[in-house]
Amino acid sequence: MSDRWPPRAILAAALFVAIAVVQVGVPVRQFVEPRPARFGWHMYSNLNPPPLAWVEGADGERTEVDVMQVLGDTRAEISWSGPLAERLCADDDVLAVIVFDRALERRVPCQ
Amino acid sequence: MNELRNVVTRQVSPRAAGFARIVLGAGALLKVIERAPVLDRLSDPSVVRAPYLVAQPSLADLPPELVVIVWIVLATAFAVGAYTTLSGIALTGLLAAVLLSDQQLYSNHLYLLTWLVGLLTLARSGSALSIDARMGRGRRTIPAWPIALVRLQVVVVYLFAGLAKVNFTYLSGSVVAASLRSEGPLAIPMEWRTFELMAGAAILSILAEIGLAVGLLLPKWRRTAFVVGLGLHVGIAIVFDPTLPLIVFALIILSPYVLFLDDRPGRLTVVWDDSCTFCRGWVAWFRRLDWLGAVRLVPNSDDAALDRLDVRREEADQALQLISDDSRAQGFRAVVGILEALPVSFLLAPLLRLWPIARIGDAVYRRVAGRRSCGITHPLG
Repeated sequence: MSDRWPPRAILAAALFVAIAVVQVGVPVRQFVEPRPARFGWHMYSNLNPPPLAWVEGADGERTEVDVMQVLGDTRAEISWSGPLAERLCADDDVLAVIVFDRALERRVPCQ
Repeated sequence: MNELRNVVTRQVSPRAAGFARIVLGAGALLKVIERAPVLDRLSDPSVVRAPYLVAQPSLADLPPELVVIVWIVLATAFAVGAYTTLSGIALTGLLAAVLLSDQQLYSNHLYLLTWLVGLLTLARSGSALSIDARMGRGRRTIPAWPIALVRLQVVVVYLFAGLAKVNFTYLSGSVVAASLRSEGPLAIPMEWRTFELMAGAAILSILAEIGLAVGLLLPKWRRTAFVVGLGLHVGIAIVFDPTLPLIVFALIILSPYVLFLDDRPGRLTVVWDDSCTFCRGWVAWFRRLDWLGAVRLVPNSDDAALDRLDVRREEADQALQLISDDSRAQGFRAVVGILEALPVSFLLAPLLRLWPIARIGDAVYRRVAGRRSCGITHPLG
């Protein structure tokens, strides 16, 4: 076998190494993230209850929101405070949205 | 560097990749049933959107029926191997677009499906067991390096799925207990969900996943890994809820297992009794199901072949002989060796080597072989 690599072999080798690095590197990177993290193969690695949400009106009263009615899928990898606040703040009567997700409660004031 | 060069220049038979493509295509078809309701919900303007980037384009903006129809057409074309490169590229693109359209559309199963469809497309898996091959668009050999990447992908999934479970919550058994089926005839009673049982099941599942990653890599342990993998995925589809996504996942991840088989055509030589009508029937079935072309059949009336293979006449007359590079087997063990090379049976066949089954199999084989009817008398008796 000659020492020179044919151009097709160089291309294949570059592609092979690049893909293998992504295949291994991404889950290695995600391994340090809280479970479950996307692209990390964290299936069934943690308890994944759906988020809980409340809206706060002008009188300061909290009303629980049925998140199953407003979410497409309750994926556990998602940090829900942003998307839920954006959707629920669309109602003019809502002053703030409170989201309990991944064992953390966040209060997001509506702009 | 030489090793890398060998990997990227090596060519292999396309049959195993063709078989994997068919099963994976079936998985892609079933996956659309599972993802369609989420696509449908996201098309409702009152439902929350969770894009990855602000103002990013999203397939959820298209009518969900359109996405589903295109998905079905592409998955079918990929499964049957019609314009496989084109349909594979388009299907990979569609799956990636679904995956990245909204965070709610992400699923590990879909992500794995995207990788595998892409890699099997790169491997030119439409070169065998496909409409393309029937139309003369196939190739005799395909590049081995995308197949190596498919194998790596499967190993990575098991390894990280196992490692990710090494945490207090999972090890306590609470994830297993919460995932078990609660309704229907296969429901697991609440009183069985004790700490000891659930924690034990959690530890076993971690060992199974990490063991699969290692076992699939090592040829010596591969047969065991096939059985463990099949048992793991069938088991969780039975005892966990929801069922459909787990059945789909089983199809997706088991589809590339065939690529872990030795891919050399004719690697097994089988000497069989061609004077026996009963054996003819079985050999015809073996031939029909040997989609990978692993088995080379040699009739025992071929004295020159027997000499070449170093098989004695009385051995060849007595029982089926299986000869591979590093081992020889006869009778029931030879049948098991053949079944381990057939795509339809290789995942289960290693179970036939277990002590009680092998003992019964040996006895049944001897009984059947002793009573087989021979239509042609052998010239040497």
